Parts: sequence; C-alpha cells; structure tokens
Amino acid sequence: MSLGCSKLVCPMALFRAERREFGTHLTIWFTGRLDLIYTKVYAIIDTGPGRHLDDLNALSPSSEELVGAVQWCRTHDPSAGFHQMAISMLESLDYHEAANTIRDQT
Amino acid sequence: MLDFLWDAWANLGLSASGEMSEIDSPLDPEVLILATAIWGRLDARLFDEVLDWMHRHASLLQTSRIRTLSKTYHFSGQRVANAMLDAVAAQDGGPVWKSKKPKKVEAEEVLFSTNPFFGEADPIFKDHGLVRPPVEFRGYSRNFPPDHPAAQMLRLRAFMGISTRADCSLYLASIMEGSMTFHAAGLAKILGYSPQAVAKSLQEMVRSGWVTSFRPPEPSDGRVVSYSATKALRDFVRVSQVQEGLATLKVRKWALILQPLDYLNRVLSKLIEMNASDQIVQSELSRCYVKFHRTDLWEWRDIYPERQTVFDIDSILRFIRSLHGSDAGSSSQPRVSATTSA
Repeated sequence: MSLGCSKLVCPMALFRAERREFGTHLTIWFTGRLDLIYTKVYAIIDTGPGRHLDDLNALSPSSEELVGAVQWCRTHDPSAGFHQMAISMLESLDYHEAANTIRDQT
Repeated sequence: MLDFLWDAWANLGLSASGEMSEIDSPLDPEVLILATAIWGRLDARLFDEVLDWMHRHASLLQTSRIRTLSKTYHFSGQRVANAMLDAVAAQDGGPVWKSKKPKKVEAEEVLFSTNPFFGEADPIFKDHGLVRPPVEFRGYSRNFPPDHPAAQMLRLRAFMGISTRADCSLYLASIMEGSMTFHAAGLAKILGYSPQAVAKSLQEMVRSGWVTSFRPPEPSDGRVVSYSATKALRDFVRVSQVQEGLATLKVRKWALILQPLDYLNRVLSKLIEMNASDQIVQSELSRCYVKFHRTDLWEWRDIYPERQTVFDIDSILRFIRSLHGSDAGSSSQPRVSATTSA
C-alpha cells in the first residue's frame, strides 16, 4: 500500500512506517503495524471478511487497537450502516467489549 | 497442502509473493481447481487469486473435466468448484461455460471455514449454499510462463486448443521409447475424458504419423490397442525440458495423487469431530495407508521430500493434540475438540 497515494492515510502513519534499505539505491518504507490494522479493519467493514480478515488475525490486534481503528474508519464513513457493520464485525470476532464501546458511540 | 497450492499456482502465473518452490512436472489445472475448492477454503487470499487466474486463463480450461474428474475420483470439492466456475463466468468478458444449476440447498455454510461471516453475501456463491463476501477480481494474475515445465499442459492447449488431443499428447510424450504404452480407456480415466472421445482422438492422431498404435498378439487381450508417441512428438513436447537440461519429462497423475489426500483429510476431519482417541486415530490412519499403498499418493514424497508429515502418524497425532493445546509428549489419552477442521 502506498501511503503517499492513499486518500485514507492514517494520522501520523509516516512516523510509524518502517524504513528498510535494499542495496544502495532502494529504500522502502513499509506501513507500520497499527496502520495495517486500521486499513485492514476498514477493508473488512467495507468489503466483508476474507483475505483481509486473515491478515488482521495475523496482526493479533488488541481490543483497544480495534476500537481506535473503527473510530478512525468512521471519520471516513460516518453512516449508520457502517457503524452497524463495525459492531457486527467486532461481535463476530468475539471482541464484545470493543463492540460495546463502539455501540455506545452512536 | 496450502504451501503446495501456492507453489503450484504461482508456477502457472498466479499473483503470489514470497519464496515459491519450483514444480518440475506439468500441472493439471482442473485438478488444481478441485484441490483449491477443497483446501482453498482455509485461505481466502489463495482462493480469490485462483478465481482471478481462472478468469484470465478461462479459454484454456476444460470445465467438463472438473465434473468428470470429481465424479471419477470422488473429490469432495465439486459444489465449491461449480460456484467458482459460475463466479468466473459471470464476470464481464467471462467465458461462456455451461452452468450446472445448483441443487436446492438445505442449509448454507460459510465458505472460508477459518473465518466467521458477516455482512453482504456473494449472490452466486449463495446460490450454491456457500456464504462469502462478494468476489473481487483484482486482475493481478499474469499469463502462464510457456517455458516452465509446470505449464506444459496449458502450453499445449494454447497451441492445439482445449481438446483431448493436447492432453493426450502430453501423456503419450511422457513415456520413454520402448517402455509402457497407453490404451484409450486407461488414458481417459487419468485425464477425465470419456473413453470414446479419447479412443476417437487417438485413432485420428495415429493418422498424423506422430502417434503409433499397437495391438498385442492374440490371445492376450487382443482387443486392447495401445498407443505411444513417436520420437518426433516426444521431442516436440519435451523441447522446453531439454532446454532446461532435464532429460525426461515427468508427467504426474495429479488426480491420483490428490484424491487420497482428500480422502485422508475427510477421515481426519471426522476423527476430530468424533473426538477420537489416539488408538482410533492410529488405526484409522493405518487403514488409510493400506488402502492407498498401491496408489500414486506416494509420489508426494518426490514432490515435497521435506514435508512428509502426511505419512507420519505421530506428527498427525501431535497436530491433533495441538488443536486443543494438550501436551504433545503426554502418554495419557488426549481427546480432540471438534472446534477445528483438519
């Protein structure tokens, strides 16, 4: 994912990116873990579970990280449908506490 | 199995990252689709990339083979494979494949068994009783690499068209001069075509002079005609392998290798479901290995010499125990929870 081109850049994402150098002429900034969680949560709520959910599971997010991710996602899509989908996702993944936190934030 | 499927598909042009192993014998795309319909349910990314690959290579796929192979070898992935074909055919610019109308489904099941499902379901998969998110074709697949040994079946189809002749040529050319020959019924069973279609093609291929026929002297089964490739045909088919420095073209009967693995998978799932004891697991697995001792399953050792867990009952027992976190070295009678599929 290119942070520079994405319209959905998470706040401060560049500061969390991991810099890696390959040889003398190639430097790649890899998206940091927290930003990957945020964007994966967005993708799951937007398109449904599937490969994105496999990726999110591999990142083993905490309940707080998921709440933060959903809050960030809602800055891009504040609709009631999106809010409901976010709660469904958290419930399905057994993050009931996070789901309740988000439910309270109508 | 997932490692194998990623390696196999990546050898045929699927979009994949990381280090992939080279498969040095021609791969059978229809058997791989059936295998993906079974084990791809454990990896959504692989599953969707395969759909994308199928869309790109649709003109080289013989969909009737999927049904015939599934029926002949009792593969368990037919319903999922039908849904995959329908999803590819429904795309813009998708192939015109004859769709098999899905049977009425009593209860829907989640396609990707490792994940819970929520949200909108894909309508095509739903018709087949499978719930999954809407399919997204990302268009990342590349054309198959024509010089790669794994892509030789596709290469011949691209040159000769998707016909029995292309697939027959590959198998006939794989036999060394003076060694065994094929007869039509045997080749039809391996390839998943009707015996009549294969017999007719072989008879016509003999007329080209690139295939020879041989009828054994009476009385030894005088009605069975055997066929073999001439040196010209063998050289033509093997040209890329010669360039790679390989002296022989090893064509594997993929359906015969993967069918026992599918059977083992189902047996293991059942054992886990019924919470079987170690003794029962050992006895059932031993029974499976005896059942398949004369099959091509054992070629798996050549394909993945470093991954032989499937033949090691102790490793399988350790795996089953790990599913519910019991001590691997315990001599007690661990029981397996029914929470996860093998």
